[in-house]
Amino acid sequence: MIGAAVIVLIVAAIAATALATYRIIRGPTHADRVVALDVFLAAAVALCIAASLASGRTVFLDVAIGLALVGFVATIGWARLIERAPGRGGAAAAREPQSAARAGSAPAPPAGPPDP
Amino acid sequence: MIFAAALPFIASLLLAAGALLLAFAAWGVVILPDALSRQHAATKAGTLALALVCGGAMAAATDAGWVWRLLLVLVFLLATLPIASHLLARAALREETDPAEIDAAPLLGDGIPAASSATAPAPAGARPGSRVLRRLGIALAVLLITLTGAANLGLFS
Repeated sequence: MIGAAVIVLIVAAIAATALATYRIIRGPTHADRVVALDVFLAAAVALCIAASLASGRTVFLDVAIGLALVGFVATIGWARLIERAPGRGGAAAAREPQSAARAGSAPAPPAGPPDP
Repeated sequence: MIFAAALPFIASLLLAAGALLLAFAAWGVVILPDALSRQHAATKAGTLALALVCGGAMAAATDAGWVWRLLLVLVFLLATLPIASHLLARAALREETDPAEIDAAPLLGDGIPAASSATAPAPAGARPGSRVLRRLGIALAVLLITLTGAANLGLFS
């Protein structure tokens, strides 16, 4: 019973890895690739749990703990890198002169309710 | 007694549900149209899938060391994945959208217009939000590294 569920889990994790690989290759922006990397992390943690269930040893659960830690730090690092990098008009460095000019010419934002 | 007899069924049910949800999360990452939607699919469905898988493995576990380690994995994922996805969504928004559109959006209070230039005065309370978030993340990481060390020293088994 549990063996069949573990096999289902392994197959689903491999399928998720394949789909995320497609998104990593095709992803138009860097953020898409990092999202696919998150799916990789989830699949890796699920595979670690499946390995520990299949082998009956807790060593793979320790691997899953470390993997979750490293994945969190990696995602935050990639997010900071995307935020700082010069991209398609969203980069902070490329926006400095524009926003200074905007602050000089148009002081009020055009739309939206006032902030509380 | 009847609960103990039903435990393998519960375990395999939770494991299969988590596996299916993980596959659905990856499928959503493939078919959804833009980065924010893809991240919505990956983060929410992926977190629930991992929680279900951890719960199933806890139901299938035989001794306390398993349950402690799985709880550690679960608490860690539930604590860190929302923070990581929040930062990633902010980065994706800045990468994808036009800067004028971001500045005109009324709903982004979290430092996005304030970070665009050093000359404009930041609205009050915009930056401390992300600072609190960052400190929360660091404190969680330190706490969980400590817990991991304790688990590896055999405190939980």
